[in-house]
Amino acid sequence: LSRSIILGKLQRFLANQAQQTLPERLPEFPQFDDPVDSFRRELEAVGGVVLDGRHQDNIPALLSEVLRQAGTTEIFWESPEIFEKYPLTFRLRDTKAFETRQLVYSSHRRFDVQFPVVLHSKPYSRTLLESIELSASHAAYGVAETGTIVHQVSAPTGRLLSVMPPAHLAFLSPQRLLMNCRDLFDRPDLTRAGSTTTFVTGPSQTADIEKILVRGVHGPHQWFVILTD
Amino acid sequence: VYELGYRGPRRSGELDGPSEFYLVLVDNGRTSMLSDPLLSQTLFCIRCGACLSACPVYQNIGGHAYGSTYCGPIGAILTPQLDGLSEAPEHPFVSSLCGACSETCPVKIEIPHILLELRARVKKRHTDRASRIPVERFGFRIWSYIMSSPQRYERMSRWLRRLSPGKIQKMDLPVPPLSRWTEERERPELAPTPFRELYESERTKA
Repeated sequence: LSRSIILGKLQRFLANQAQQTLPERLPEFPQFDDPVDSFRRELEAVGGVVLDGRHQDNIPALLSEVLRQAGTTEIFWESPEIFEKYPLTFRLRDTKAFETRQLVYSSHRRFDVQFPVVLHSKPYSRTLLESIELSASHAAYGVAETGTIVHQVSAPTGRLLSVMPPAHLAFLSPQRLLMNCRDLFDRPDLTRAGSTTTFVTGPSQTADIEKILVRGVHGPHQWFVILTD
Repeated sequence: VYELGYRGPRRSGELDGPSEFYLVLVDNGRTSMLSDPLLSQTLFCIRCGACLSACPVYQNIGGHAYGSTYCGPIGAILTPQLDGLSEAPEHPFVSSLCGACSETCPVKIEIPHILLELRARVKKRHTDRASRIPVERFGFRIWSYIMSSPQRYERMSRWLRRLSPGKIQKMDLPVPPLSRWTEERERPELAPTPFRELYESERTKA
């Protein structure tokens, strides 16, 4: 079998190389007195926006700010948690929609926080996906060292909504903010849960043509994180 | 900036993902590259393209000249290793060995060293087209005989200078294979005083 030939060769050569090149000990992984501060610094350095919703219950105000910056009046959710946790007024056209894991569409008018919610059943239509300007999700983890957000497909939010729209908002619990990459890969649920794990560090950017940095070509060009318990 | 980790098809309860998941292993000579300590560096390439932007050869000839997916300095070392040296024998020679590529490379691939190694292998295989034309091979043999000794080189250049530079400029070779060279190429002008003599006179002045 060619599979066993290829993998056998890989194993043989890598075993030889590993003996020669592996360092004696792992490099120092940074620890932070204030991981939130580091997370904010790293994410803002790559063009992300971090909003602090930890202490006062100002989530509606922060959502208004995100809507203002994204220049839209609508946020798309797949998860009902945010509505259950915070006293956001919303209306469901189909009350069973959350149970059936359908896409939730919430409309927000004139930046005063009211969320009438309309539902669209999956699979999403192409025109609907193209019309989405801002989507929201829950992050599985955050990494203070790099400003990275980790999305798990097994979480209530899938992948599609975090990569398709031009702006995305991730909710991150401070308890799920880890110090560094080693802490992240030490989490047993990182590789066991779900079929896909996505590591996202700020808005999509590329400089592969003539070293000119362009944002939002392969994903969102605006990236918001709200820290909230 | 995105990185993705896949662990198979969508599981029950998940919102997105494929219903079937296939992983195809493509070798294309990569495991053989891995077995060579020098050439295996080629596999470190992250496809950033920085070597292309730094390469004076690439900037002048462009990507199509490389005739394959990968162009620039990395294409010059990757293509012959993926497709085989007999398929791309010219690729390792498309370089002035200036080293700008390995200087700018973020993963520090020693591209000039790999180019030299591949050139040596091409030579060993005798597949290079130049040496298959007898007249050209004969010309290069004379050239290498002259160039391999400083005394011979000096004697030759002194003899060429005795012919006036204008004469060499206009001298067209009449015989067909050689006239194809002289018809379409401008011959360089010889310097009135060779560098060796300039250097000597400057040194004795100082």
